[in-house]
Amino acid sequence: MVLELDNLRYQHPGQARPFIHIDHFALQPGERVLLHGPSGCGKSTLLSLVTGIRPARQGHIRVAGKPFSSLSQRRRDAFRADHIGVIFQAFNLLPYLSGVENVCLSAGFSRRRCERAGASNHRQRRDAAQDLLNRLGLDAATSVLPAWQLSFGQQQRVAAARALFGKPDLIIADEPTSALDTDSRDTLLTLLCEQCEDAGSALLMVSHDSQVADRFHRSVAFSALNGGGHHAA
Amino acid sequence: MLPRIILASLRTRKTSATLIVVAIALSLVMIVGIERLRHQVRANFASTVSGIDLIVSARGGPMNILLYSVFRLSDPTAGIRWQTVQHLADHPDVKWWIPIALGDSHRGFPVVATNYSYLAHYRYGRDRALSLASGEWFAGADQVVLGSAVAQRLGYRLGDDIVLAHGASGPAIIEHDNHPFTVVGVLAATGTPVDQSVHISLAGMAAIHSGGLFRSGLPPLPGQQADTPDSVNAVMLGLQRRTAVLSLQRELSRYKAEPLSAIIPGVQLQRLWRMTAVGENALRATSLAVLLVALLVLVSTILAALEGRRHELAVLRAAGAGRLAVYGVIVGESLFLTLIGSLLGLTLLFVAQWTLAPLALAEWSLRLPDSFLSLRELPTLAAILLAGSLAGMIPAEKAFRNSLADGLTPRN
Repeated sequence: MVLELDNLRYQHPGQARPFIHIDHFALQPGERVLLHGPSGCGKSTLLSLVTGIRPARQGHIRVAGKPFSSLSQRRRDAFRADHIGVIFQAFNLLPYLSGVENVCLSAGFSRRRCERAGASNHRQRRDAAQDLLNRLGLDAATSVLPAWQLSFGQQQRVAAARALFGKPDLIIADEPTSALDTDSRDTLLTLLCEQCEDAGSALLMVSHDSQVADRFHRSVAFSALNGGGHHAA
Repeated sequence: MLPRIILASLRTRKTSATLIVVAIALSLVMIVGIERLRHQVRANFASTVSGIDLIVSARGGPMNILLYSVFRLSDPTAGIRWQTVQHLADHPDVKWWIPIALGDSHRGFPVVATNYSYLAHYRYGRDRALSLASGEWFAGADQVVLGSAVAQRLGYRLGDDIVLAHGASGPAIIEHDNHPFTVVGVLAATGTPVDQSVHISLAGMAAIHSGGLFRSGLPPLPGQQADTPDSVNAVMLGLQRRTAVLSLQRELSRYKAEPLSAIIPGVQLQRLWRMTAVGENALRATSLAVLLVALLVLVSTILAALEGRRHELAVLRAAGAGRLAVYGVIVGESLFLTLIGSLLGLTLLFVAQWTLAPLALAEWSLRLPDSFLSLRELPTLAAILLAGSLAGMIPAEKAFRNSLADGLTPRN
């Protein structure tokens, strides 16, 4: 299993009942799963827990076979760098760095991913990043522009390339296409799914848009998953 | 990679970064500048008295004797009789002696009546003797030798006639205009009060005060102590053995013929510094406060910028940045700004020293330091850099906590 959630509960400070309550959820290696549900239902909170940025105090999260949620914050951060790629809805990039440099950010925090990308030095990292950007449809001239000069669609492709760099076990995507038009959305999803397939990475994508479900192996409604979760909305 | 992120991120916040750098630079100029000036003033004072073992004067406050006889910063005490001077000159412990008679001035510069011993025996700095930049030492009673700053400020050249005024400073009330003096020599710059002095012979001093005319044709020859006034204000002594200083000091304080004070200039200087320490500490405290303000500006500017950087930090966190990397970015930034500010401050100081050096030497006979950074200042600089990085810890911790609270997606 790439990802396994067991009896996971989370409540915001001051709340009496858990906001998130998931009995069991698992992802096979290479599996692509769509998690859909309306906005504000707690999907982003779940992803913060799964990526280990927010500590999970109750329940268990295992990533790539490791008891991820019981690691220390420091080791969880290092583990995330090694095993998880993340794509946000927007603001994925450091605006003042180029596309290539943004992709290399992942490499800077993880030796494992450098090795898996076959990049042992700075130059090889840039080449690997450029190669990945090419496959996602960004040419060399565009890749060296500072990120703020790129179009939104291009920025999301750079974000996808950064998540995919070094073939992590798990890619987490939080509404990556919600700000794109239908054509760009389809292009990005096609490329993302192709590259996940190539890299052998599992993909957990959260979206309010269930129209894209046909590209995934499985589609799960968040409300079905979050059985015991309590929502004001 | 972190340096690249720090630099690129700062480039997007040029204005506030520049202001912080300037604030830090100015506080460094204050801290290091005050310390350098203090050190240099002390070194200059120490240099001025470095060769003198004892200063003998009529009984009076030791501090006053030091200040008037060497630094010309105070009013002279009553004179001591020439017989006493003769007694000192003949004393077996005394190697050399320099008589000093004060009381006149020339356009604000003090007039020092002395003899050839002044040129031969006075030492400043590390055993350096006085030398003439041009002309020669006075031989006649109507001749004058100028300190370098006097010659430069008043634009006098060899052969010019000058008139001396009675009274130590300020506008001349009584001018001894029946005795014009001729400039025969100009001393080389020393960075001591010698530069600010006008030197005449004891005979010259006696003549202008006795109201008599110069006995032309009868100038006392150098070395031949023909110029014997009734009294002088002080005598500087050099001893055969420095170990005799204390016993001679005690002996002179019990001198029967008239009440004398003998002071050890080095000891008096130490007492002077102890007296001025309060003022110096106040200045230091002020400059520390300025640094503190600069650091607070640094912290508040970085903190204010954090709100706008939440996405940036979330991206870094998602890419795998842990606490260490977040601290690296924020503390690295404050350390970088402090470092650049310090370098700018040191450069400003260096340029200021370099530009003001000729002026300081001419106006106050103060030699400014010529170094960019001295070994003695390294601890101060290290402390400033350390304070700069510690200041970065506060926003760094806040940034890390923000990123925990924000999770993957910051709200704004």
